[in-house]
Amino acid sequence: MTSEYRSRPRDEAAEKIECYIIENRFEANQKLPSERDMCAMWGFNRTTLRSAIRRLVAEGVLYNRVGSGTFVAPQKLVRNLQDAEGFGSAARAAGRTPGTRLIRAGFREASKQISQKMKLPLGHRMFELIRVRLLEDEPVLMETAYLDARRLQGIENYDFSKLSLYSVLQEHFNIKIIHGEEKLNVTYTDEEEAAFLGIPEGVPVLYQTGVVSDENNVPVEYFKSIARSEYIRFASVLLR
Amino acid sequence: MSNDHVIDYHAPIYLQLREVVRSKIEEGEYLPGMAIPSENELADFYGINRLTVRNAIDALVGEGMLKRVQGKGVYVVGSKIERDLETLGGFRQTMREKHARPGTKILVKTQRRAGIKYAHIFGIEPEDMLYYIRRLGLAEGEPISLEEILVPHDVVPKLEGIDLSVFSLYEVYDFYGIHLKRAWQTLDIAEPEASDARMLNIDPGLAVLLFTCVSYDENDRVIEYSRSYTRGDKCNFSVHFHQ
Repeated sequence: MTSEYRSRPRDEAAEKIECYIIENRFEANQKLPSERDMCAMWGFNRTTLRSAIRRLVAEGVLYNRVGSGTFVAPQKLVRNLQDAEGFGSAARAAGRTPGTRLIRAGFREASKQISQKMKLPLGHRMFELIRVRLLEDEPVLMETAYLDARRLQGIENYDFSKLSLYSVLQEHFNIKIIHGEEKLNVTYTDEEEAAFLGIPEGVPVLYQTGVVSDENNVPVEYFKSIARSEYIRFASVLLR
Repeated sequence: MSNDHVIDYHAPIYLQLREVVRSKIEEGEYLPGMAIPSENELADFYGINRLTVRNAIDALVGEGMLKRVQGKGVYVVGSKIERDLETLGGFRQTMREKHARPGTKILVKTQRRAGIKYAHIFGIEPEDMLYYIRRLGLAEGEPISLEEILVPHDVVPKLEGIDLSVFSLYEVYDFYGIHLKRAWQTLDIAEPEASDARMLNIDPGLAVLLFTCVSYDENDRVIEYSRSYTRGDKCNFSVHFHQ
């Protein structure tokens, strides 16, 4: 037992700031006191306080605006990994304003990876849909979907900058997404992803890839997406 | 970007080379523990610039597929530990199920006041006491997570005298008739500060996954709150979803 333990100054300062936000019922985009005032209030030195703020910025609790100070960040959009809800409806349910920028909607032949995931032969005609999703006009997610074009005659006529992919599948093709499996990890943006998301290259982002299937266990969609962790948080329920 | 990236011929060369190397690893042409051809050899073979080769290799090193050994070369790293985001189980149990020899190293075990933040989380008073545990999780002797765990003192009043290198926290809960039933876990990206990065044996500036987990017993009482920095280059995470 290390009873002499004192918590590390940076952690202590970060917790102080979090408590201050709770106690004073700070809302999103509200400005924190100046660094000097916070140091005086709690008796931390500037370096410690700055380091704590840096940690909270990285975790999406705060954000900095150069020249004007430190602000409480808006809540991240929580996406439950265990439901098959699309981005748009999850955002609306949380009272946010989702948007879509269509990058590409067209046909391509199945590569080896796509064919293996979709259980279709190499070169099969696929519908490729690439979208950047926005929250209050900020690009936060880039989604790429591959679907079996032969099963979805005429899918290219739908405007996916406005329509939900899953609604179109259900209402116009009578395909219901029932279940799926996905993998998650950290990756770093490449040149193209960085440009579409408006962030630098080489920035860590959350990477998801998976396959969703219908009630007959037929793969319907193979998807990959990258999400900006400052805006999106993933969550799940663990059971014993 | 990770697995399954679809690449065509007008993609930048470094991305194409990255996918070539990745598929050679996935298909077993380059085996775990083996060195891949040198940067010069790859540059000569594909007729591309050495700097381009380096960019492609760096990306795979960052993802944890390859490991650079100073003065020796670039080696293929063995497969990652597959973990799911659905099962509630202690660190050691999870690792054992994955056949990765687990270990934990307790760095700090102490008591502290809850304070406003944790009083909020546990539904207790700010003056109430909490146990605070900070530990390193190891698999095959290699650090994979750095965890902070908080448990209200009243939940396990005797935790003070229990050696957590002998018993896991889950075993201790069982001893005291506490049955964790479910947990709410969130997932973010974090960049650990330099001393934490050292502890995890990763390069400073590398991102890790931040898991925050609130665990409940069958009476919906909050038993445990944990925050864990987990190395994405050592583990893969998967989850099932349903309508």
